[in-house]
Amino acid sequence: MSTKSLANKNVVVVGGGFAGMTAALQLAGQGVEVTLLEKEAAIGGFFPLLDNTFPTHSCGVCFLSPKQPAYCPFVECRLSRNLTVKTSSRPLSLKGEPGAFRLGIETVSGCVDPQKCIDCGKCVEICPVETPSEFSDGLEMRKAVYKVFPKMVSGGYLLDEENCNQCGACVEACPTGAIELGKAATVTEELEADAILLTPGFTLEEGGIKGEYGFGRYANVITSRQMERMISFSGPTGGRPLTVADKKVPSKIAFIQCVGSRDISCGRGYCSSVCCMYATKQAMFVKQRSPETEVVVYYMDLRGMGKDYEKYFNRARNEFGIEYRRSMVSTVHEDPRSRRLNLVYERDGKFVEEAYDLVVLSLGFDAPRLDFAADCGLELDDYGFVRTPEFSPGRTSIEGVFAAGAFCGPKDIPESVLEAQAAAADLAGMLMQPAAKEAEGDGEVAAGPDEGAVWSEEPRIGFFLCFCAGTLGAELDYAALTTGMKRLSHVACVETVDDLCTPEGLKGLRRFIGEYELNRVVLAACSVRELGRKVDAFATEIGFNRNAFTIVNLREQVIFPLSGSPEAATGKALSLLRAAHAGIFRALPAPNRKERLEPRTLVVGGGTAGMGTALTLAGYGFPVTLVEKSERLGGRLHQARFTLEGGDPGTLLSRLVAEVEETENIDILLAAEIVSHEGRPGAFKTVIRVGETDHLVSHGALVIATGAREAATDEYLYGEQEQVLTQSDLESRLTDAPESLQVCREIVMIQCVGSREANGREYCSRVCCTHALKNALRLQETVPEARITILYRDLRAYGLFEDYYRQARDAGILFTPYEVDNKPVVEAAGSALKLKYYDQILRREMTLEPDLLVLSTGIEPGDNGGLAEIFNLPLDAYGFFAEANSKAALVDFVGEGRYHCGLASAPVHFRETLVRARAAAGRAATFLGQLEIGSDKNAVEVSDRLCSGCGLCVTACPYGARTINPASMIAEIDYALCHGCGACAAVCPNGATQQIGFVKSQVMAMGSELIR
Amino acid sequence: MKTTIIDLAGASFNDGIEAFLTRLLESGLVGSLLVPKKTTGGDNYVHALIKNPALLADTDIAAPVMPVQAARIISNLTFRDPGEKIGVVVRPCEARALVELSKFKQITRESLLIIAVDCLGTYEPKVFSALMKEGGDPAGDLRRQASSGPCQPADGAVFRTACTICEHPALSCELVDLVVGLYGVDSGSELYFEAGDEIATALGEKGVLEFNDLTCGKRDEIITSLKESRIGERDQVLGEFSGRVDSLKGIQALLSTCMRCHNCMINCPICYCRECVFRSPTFEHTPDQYLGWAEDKGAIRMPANTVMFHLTRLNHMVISCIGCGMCDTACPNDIPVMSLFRTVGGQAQAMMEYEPGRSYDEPAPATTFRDNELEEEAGCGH
Repeated sequence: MSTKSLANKNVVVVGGGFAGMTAALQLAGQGVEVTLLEKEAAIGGFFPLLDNTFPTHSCGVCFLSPKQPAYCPFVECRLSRNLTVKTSSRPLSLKGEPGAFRLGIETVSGCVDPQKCIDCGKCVEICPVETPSEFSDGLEMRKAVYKVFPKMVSGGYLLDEENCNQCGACVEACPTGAIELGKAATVTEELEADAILLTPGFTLEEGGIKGEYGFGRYANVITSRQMERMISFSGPTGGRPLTVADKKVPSKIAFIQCVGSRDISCGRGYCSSVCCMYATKQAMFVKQRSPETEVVVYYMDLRGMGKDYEKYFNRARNEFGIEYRRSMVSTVHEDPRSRRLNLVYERDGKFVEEAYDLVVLSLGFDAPRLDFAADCGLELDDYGFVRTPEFSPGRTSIEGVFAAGAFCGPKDIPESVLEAQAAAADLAGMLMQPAAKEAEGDGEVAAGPDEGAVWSEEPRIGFFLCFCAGTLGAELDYAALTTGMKRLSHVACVETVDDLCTPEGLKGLRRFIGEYELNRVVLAACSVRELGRKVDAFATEIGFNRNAFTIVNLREQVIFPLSGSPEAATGKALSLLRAAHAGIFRALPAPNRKERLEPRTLVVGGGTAGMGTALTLAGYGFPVTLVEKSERLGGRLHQARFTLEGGDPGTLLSRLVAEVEETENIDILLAAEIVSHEGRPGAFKTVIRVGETDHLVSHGALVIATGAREAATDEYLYGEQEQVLTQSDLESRLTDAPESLQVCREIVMIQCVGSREANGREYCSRVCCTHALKNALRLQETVPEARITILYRDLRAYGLFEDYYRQARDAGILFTPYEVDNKPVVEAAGSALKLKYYDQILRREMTLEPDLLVLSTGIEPGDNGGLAEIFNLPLDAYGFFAEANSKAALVDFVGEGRYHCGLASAPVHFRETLVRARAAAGRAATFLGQLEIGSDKNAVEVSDRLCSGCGLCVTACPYGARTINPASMIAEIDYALCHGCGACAAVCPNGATQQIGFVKSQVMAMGSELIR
Repeated sequence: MKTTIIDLAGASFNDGIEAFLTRLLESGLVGSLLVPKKTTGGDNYVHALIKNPALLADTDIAAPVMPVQAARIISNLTFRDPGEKIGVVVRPCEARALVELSKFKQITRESLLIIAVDCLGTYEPKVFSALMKEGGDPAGDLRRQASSGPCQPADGAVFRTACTICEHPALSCELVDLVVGLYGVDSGSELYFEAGDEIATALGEKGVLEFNDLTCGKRDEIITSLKESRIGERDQVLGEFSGRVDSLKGIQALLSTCMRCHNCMINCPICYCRECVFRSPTFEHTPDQYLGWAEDKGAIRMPANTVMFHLTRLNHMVISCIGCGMCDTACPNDIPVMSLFRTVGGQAQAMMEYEPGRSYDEPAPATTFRDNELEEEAGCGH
């Protein structure tokens, strides 16, 4: 088993932000011993700063963890068995080689002993020192003893010795004697590791922009980081945008983009990739909280390259009324009396001035500082980002040292998550080498704890009402609830608690269970989605059956909807609690049945994504069946001739194909068609037809990697005039018949053909701008005499691609923006072409006579409908396969065991396809590595005595899991196919089939409590 | 379809049938026969499973009494493949119940040779018993009437209500293997049979029955007009019932004398569950539940779940209710359960475009799904 082979391996992940947490959790979930180093006092990176993320405006972080739905990764990182978190730690040196690295680290231990601290906050109350908080760039104050951010979970409080006046008040106030002034010390040690993963993220250095636009001089010029705090409910203004100088609601706010980005004068030639989106998000929150405020965003190119981001911009414009102005602001100066800010910017060729109450500077990323990088020979680029090979993303110049996230170049959370998942998978594959791959699925299934004893006792029910860290207390009459519950039969205790979801809360619960000798527990707290899995794990840990616990959702079902009417809320809470009592009294124990997982993965699609997934999974030791509908492997890679970064896709293609063909664990089916599919995660059965032969493949996981295609168009005389090509046509021509281009003198490219249009494809295809840059640069070399003009809407050369954009401009390629409502017009003049467009800089209509017109038509999804139907998978609004969560679960479908990657998921660059392929493999490996999955709490059971063999359940079951045994004439269940949906239990007339967890007598008793 | 008329040549109807059944059993076409046979007391007929042809004496396939619905017995016999063919003599409502039971895998149709006899109406067992004890010939009286038209019950007696509104007094051999006709047949001097071609050939080959294609002239006409008058009667009886039972109060009033003996369920041929959910732990309530309900409502009827029992049975079985009226017969307190089921059933069956007992090929509505169902269910259809 792969996880067994990974069990003795050690990996150090450097950097505890989003990418680091993702990778660490994935590796730990696969059995690797992981140490997560974080230089700050708490893990989380920049994520705790974000109250909401785009484009969903929810946190979405719970989707990050290996299993969904899951809890906050901050909590999870602390709970994970194989994961050690070391905060306030940074690497100093790296020695050794793969399998035997020695990482020297330095850890600062503070004046507050985390073992003794109970998070009571008395020290903070009494501390007399106030100093600006780093968390919000000084927008709010903190004490000398403080928490780094409100929700931090790692350790207790910190004492900032620099600002501490040594008064000792906190030492006296601390009830546990956890604080000792002057105790801080630095400890160095050496960690052994088989491999290293670098995820140090990025920094936001306002140092570089101090002075620019008056930041630091004018109070009302703030950074995006400060704005993020301002729109946070936990921030200094309670989520309302206010001017800093006089705390007034601003009537006008300006966002200035690209501050410290796309600017070689400050050493940052790259695009930071995320600022257009986060500024838009902040602007939307400003409008939401303060609808009267006018918001203007000053930008150069709007760069929101994700699948759903175009829609987001449109919403910001049309629904929120945010104005976007394509113009850079040259200066900002303050009117000293009104404290208003005058922005000078260029409009229609003239400089104009406009006054604002608040100016937000959208800060770009800086590469992180890794002091030890230079000493150990880690190759960085000129900006300080780590160099990773184009065809092996995630690898670095040092073998065994991997990298992911913004350290590889500025990027958004989704890309960071994907890179982390991919690098972790790649790394795990390396750890498996060269050890012989063991056969899968031969591990012994460990027996669960004996749950019978506790279950068979007379019920002793305990109620625990959670205040949710003090947020729920005021809304309900807890005294009435307590009295009401105490009256019910078999109730041993009713207690109020504050924090059921934390390790401390569960510890307390465990104490109560022992004290009152409970064997049934009702938790009145929040949603099962948040608490359920944790409670299941807790039950197992203490040797209880999972069904000995039940959760009542007082937060979402009572307090949120009935906020402000405590009487109604208390009444409803009483009903729900009484029903829970009736239910748990009659509950049946969840069966402790385990189903073995089929270790094989079926990968559908033999292109870059499919081959990448197959190879990564094979690296783990998992068998793969790779299915391709055409006669050969490779997919779109066959059409690629060269890359922007100078690579040869042909070498990648032949390498991938050779590796796939040579790998024993990969079965390849070419010219294959999917005929049928059934089963459930862990036990799928798919029939694949090759010619006349049907192959039945049993597999535990499924990865869809079916690709997409270059969109077709009939615009701009494509198909009518031979001078009109698509970018792909041009790419082939540039390598296969460059001489045919020699005659061209006037070459025009039009971007966004059929893309980003309400009645076309609404999304941005992400790759076309860089595709055009790549072709234009090659064209320029091939035909130096030609004039090349690129007509674009927003030139989306995101991240490090910006360098190529600059290179193209320096090489004399002309870039001219056009508006979607004033598109270029192409007419045929005999065999020649006439192209008219409006030049926004010259402010007049121009006419060109191109002898080559190249259209960037974008990417459209393949015909995914058929496959989606066979596999019962969701498509998004555009026809790509839909991700479970657009922030943190991009290769997942909702639920386990089914994944997708590459162009089947979204338009992505092919380097990103390689990343997504590995990420999908990593996710599948985590799932398959469990070896077995427990049966659902809501599994069904048949009573032989009661079953009449009528077969209604057989017809009702949507999964084919029911049969009538012809000998006994009694219904049977194939648990490998059963999803626990309960259709059989519903249709069974006499309750011969019962759904554990929804037993008929239980449901009726609960129902009658609810309608009392 | 093949038909035949056999001349009794002076023998009685029962003798002629006995001779036919003896030939059938001896032919090996069936291994046993399930036939109504006079009880030891002489005042009733019950189904007997007969292996020895000598014991076919004292059987009467047309005795106008149905103490037990044969479909229930046949389900016991063929729930699993019995390993031999069993000939069963049934009335139309029993044959139709078999159709429904086959959809719930409660019978093995292939192991049955179903012989359906025209039903001339049945008496409640106690009425029939009294007529027999008085020395009457209730079966013969009805057979004689049937040769020329519908039958009237004996003086001072009535047929079971279910029979008076039954639209299926006679079946065709599409649903059964062999039909013994009585309507329009001069049963004093002849026997009339209908059979499918295949069965007819087999019976002929084995010398059990020769099919001569003779028919009875007025038979169809009599049956058609009988069905019409029964439909009229049905609409009147059920119309009167639904006028009376038109609300929850009406249902409560209807069930006021129910003593929850479950006899209606036990005698229902369609209620096929091995153990009714109302007799299972699901309905074993705890004392605090009863007390809680009593506290909430001030008072509750005990034992609880009386109305619930009938409503649940309606919910589970009404689509398949073939209207045999065994529930009426079984009820010790004369609650018109059959009228309730046929009233609700008529509407539910119409909604599903389903007629119980019509065809073996029609799937039970609970096992099928139509695209527009959800719309109708949610009330968002057009």
